[in-house]
This record gives sequence, structure tokens and C-alpha cells, in this order.
Amino acid sequence: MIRLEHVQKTYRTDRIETVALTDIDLDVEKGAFLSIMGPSGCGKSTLLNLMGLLDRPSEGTVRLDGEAVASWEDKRLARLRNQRIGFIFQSFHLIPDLQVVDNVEIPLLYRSSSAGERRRTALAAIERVGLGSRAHHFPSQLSGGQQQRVAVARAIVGRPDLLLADEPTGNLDSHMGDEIMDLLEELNQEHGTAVVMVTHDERLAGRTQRTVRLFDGRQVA
Amino acid sequence: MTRHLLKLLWNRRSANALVGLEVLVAFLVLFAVLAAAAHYWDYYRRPLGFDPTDVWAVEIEAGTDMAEPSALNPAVARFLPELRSMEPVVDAAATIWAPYRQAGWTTTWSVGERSSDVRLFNGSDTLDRVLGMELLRGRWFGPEDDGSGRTPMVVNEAFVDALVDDGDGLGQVIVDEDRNPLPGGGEELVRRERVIVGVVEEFRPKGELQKPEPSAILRPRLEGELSNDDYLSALLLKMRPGTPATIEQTVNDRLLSMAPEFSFRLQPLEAARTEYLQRLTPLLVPALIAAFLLLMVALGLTGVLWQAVTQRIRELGLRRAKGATLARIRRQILAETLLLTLAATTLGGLLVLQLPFTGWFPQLRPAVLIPALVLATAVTALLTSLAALYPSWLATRVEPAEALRWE
Repeated sequence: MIRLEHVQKTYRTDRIETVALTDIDLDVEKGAFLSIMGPSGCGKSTLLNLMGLLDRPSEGTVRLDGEAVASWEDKRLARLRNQRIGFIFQSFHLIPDLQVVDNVEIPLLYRSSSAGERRRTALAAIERVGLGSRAHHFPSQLSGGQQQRVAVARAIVGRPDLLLADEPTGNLDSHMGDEIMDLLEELNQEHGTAVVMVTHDERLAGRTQRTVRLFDGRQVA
Repeated sequence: MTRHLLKLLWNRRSANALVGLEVLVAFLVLFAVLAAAAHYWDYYRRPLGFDPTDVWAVEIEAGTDMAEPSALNPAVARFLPELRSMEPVVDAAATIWAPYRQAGWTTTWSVGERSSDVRLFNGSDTLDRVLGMELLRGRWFGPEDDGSGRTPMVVNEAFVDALVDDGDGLGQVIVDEDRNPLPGGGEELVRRERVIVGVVEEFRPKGELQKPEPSAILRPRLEGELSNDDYLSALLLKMRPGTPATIEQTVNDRLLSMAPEFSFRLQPLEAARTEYLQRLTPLLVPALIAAFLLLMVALGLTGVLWQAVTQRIRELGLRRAKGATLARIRRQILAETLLLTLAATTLGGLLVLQLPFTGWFPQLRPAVLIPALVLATAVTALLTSLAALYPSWLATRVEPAEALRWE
């Protein structure tokens, strides 16, 4: 489904050039469940951003369904991010001034659907992550685990083919981490959603089909 | 999406209050500047009631003061036929003051229950021809009014509106009584009767920015028993088009030969008009200050919006990660800014709509208030939209991944 070929990512400022990723080759197939591991700063999040079309590689090619995305215009990339990719961030990135249901609705705002339909779909996604009773709470009224579940609901509300999770359990205790992991497994197994998860936790990585290991921006396994 | 934005704006009301306040200040400053401009423009575009083209004013002085009617008016009676006989003079008239002279004579007249301030002006029988004045109805006064016992006058429409109950005003008599102290003690009751013989649309001799108000042009007596009501101090000469400036000396010499006790100063009314408008140049100073103030407000607004958007770059990055296009993000920032502008200008509009009720700003008549309100709202919206352009560009120039890491 998504394929990275000889991908390199370099961050440049006036004085410093930092190579974040070097010569990455990775293929994520439909229904796959991958984990990405490696020490902090090894390029895991950068890799996830490239797969999620949130960033562009400095060299190499990112292909979606066999087509190189480099030349795609913003409108097409935005549509793909909206309809085919769901992103879960380590720091949740919830909008604090919006209720849970409004946060979850955000991806649907960029589709053509009625307000009622959006609301029903968002509430269904919130039910799915077990937060039905919290739909009208603000993020600040929720625990960290609940906030991450809201982020999961927001990522799955648009029924994406690919779910990219950047340390989704990084800010949670092990119990809440397991709950989120169960949810990701369920999505992968019941709906065939491909999941790529960055984690530091060997135990969680062990529950995925395959683990990609990075070190200093290079793929070592 | 509109509902989503409204919810977002409402939930961030305390954070948006600063931007809203800035927009409100911009709106109020704009309104003040535009109301002043609309006030003067409204006066400027209204009819003057006369045409200064090819008219020369001859101001007559006796020493440094206005000459007494008893001394001047009989001389004026001799000047007028003499001047009319001169080439290239087409016609001549006498007035209390030359147009564009910033002098005035105001009184309060009452008719029945009605009472109004009236601006008075003395003008001789041919003033209408010299100044190209057009009557709406009635006639100009003339020799047929001699011996009627009532002073004939031509008034403007505002006079009729203010003092005439019904009808077109023609034939309306205005009675004016004064108690003058007598030298030996006691008082003398002076009763004057004036009658409207003609109505003009407007007459504003002081110039384009004179306030339109009830005005009356009275017929002064040139000979016989003269009083303070008959003051004159200027002659107006309608010249043939293209009359050279050298005529000034010829006319001056002729008048001096007839009445050496007076001095005469000639000036084309068009030159007097130019001088009058140049005297308005100091008005440019507050206009420049207002423009500078607006620039400061615009820069402040850009700064506040820039800060507000910068604080939200991560949120905007998230929206892009969830499928918003760059154009959509820019539209969102613009829409939020415009909704905030709408809220601030509505509040500002409600505030300024109260001003006429306070009675402190009589200039805020509908012809000033409504255009100023509409323009101030439109310009504020334009200003805030322009001010939002840079922050929206700033918010979308980075890739979503970078925006999500923004500190």
C-alpha cells in the first residue's frame, strides 16, 4: 500500500545539516501491523511523518499504491491524508477549546457530509473507544489515557486504510497503554486497517507482526 | 464548518477579546475619521446657491470699519448705475458682505409656535442676476416693493421648512420686535415686518463648508431713512468672461473718483474661493494624524493577529494532518478574523448608533452617520482581512510535520 524507496531526510538550517533518515526501504502492505523501534532521535517520528504524507523526503521516493507522491499537489495530498490515513500523536494534539465530539469530528469537516451525519459518525467513533459518556467534555477534563483514546477516535473516525501511531502509549501507564494497544489490534484484525506504530516498549512491539528497527537514521532490522 | 468556527471563537472568547478590542478600536477610529469626512463632504456637495464664475467683489471700507449705511448706501446707489455702464461689467449688485467672507449675522425669529435661528444677508435688487441665483418660486425683490412698509426677502427652503406652517411660504410675514433703549431713559419698541417674496433652494455665501441652515436675503434700502438693518459693505460685478486683471485698476479709479472717502479692494470671487479652500489646509493636519493613527492600528492588528495565529500553528498543522488543504486553512483564518470583525463592528455600530441620542454630536445626521457606519465596517473588514494575510501565509508555509512540532 505504501512504499518507501531509498528515502533520505535531511534537516537544514543556515549552519547545521542534520541527517534524520538514510536509505530507508520499507513496504507496508494492506492489513499489516508494524512497529518501529529505536532510541530517541533515531528518526522514528520522521519516518512516520513521511509515511503519513506530512513531510517530504530530501531524497528517495514515497509511493502510495505504486504511485510516487512527490509531485502531488497539496489538494491531492490533503485528500489522501483525510480519507486514507489516520494519525495518532504521542502528545494527542487535541484542541483544548473544543469538546471531545468536536475534536473527533475534525477530519469529517474536510469531507462533504451533513452536520448530522458528521455528529453521528463522531459519536459512534467515541463509543468505539469507550468514551460515550465523555463526548461533551473538554480535553482538560479527561485523564491522559482518555485523551489518547479521543485521539484514536479522531484517527479512526474517517475509516482510514492506514493508521500511523507515534508512541501512542508513550505518555500512559501500562494499563492504559494496553487498552490503546488492544484497540489498535482490534482495528487491525477486525477491519483490516494497516497499523504502523512507533514504540519504545518491546512488549508492545512483540504484539505486532513485524518490527522495524532504526539506529542513527538507518534501518538496522 | 461555520458552526465549528463559531464554537471555536466562542470557546476562545477570552483569548479573542484582545483581537476583538483591537478591531473595535480600529472601527471607532475609522468611524470618527469617516464621519468627519462625510460631514464635510455632505456640506461640500450641497448646492451653494450661487455661481462665482466671472464675478468680482469690491469690498468697501471707511478707514478700518464698515461704513455706516447713512454714509455708504447713497454712494452705492450712485456706484451701481455707473459700474453697469462700464465695459466689461455685465451687471452690478451690493451686498452686506462679499461671498466667501467669513462674516455672519444671525437672529432668532418666531412664527406662531415655530422658532428658528436664521442667517441674514443683505443683497440689492440685482443680486440674483449677478450671482446667477435661481428662484424655486416667487420673484426677486425690486422697485415694486418700494413703499410697501415691509422689507421683502428671499429665503431658502430650510427657512420655509423651519418657520412656515403650511403653503409654499410666499407672502408669509415675519414680525420682529426689539426694545431699544432711548438716550433719555426708557425704551422704544421697534417693530419690523418682513415678507417672503421668493424662495431659493439654498444660499451659503460663506462657502462650500458653510452649514446649511435657514437663511434670508433682505432688501436693504439705499436711500431715505436708513437703519442698522441696511448695512452694505461690498459690490459684486458680473464681468464678461475673460476679463483681464487690469480691470481692477480701472474700476478702483472710477470708484475713487466718485467717493474718495472710501477705499476699495477688488478680488475675483473665484480667487476668494481658492483662498477659502486653501484656508482649509489646516484640516489636513488632523486628517494626517488620523491616517497615522489608522496605520498604527493596522500594524497593531497585524501584530495581534500574527501572535494569535502563531500560537495556533500546531493546531493548524493538526488540521492539515487531518485533511485540510492550505487554501482551506487560509480561508479558516480569514473567516475567523471576519467573524471576529463582525462581532466587534456590530458592538461598535450599536455604540455609535447611540451617539445621536446623546445630543452631543449634532453633526451625526443620517446623511453622515449611515455612510460613515457602512464605510467604517467595510474598511475595518478590509483592514482585518489584509492584516490576517501575513499570519495565514506564515501558518501555512511550513510542512504539517514541522507545524506539529512548532514551539
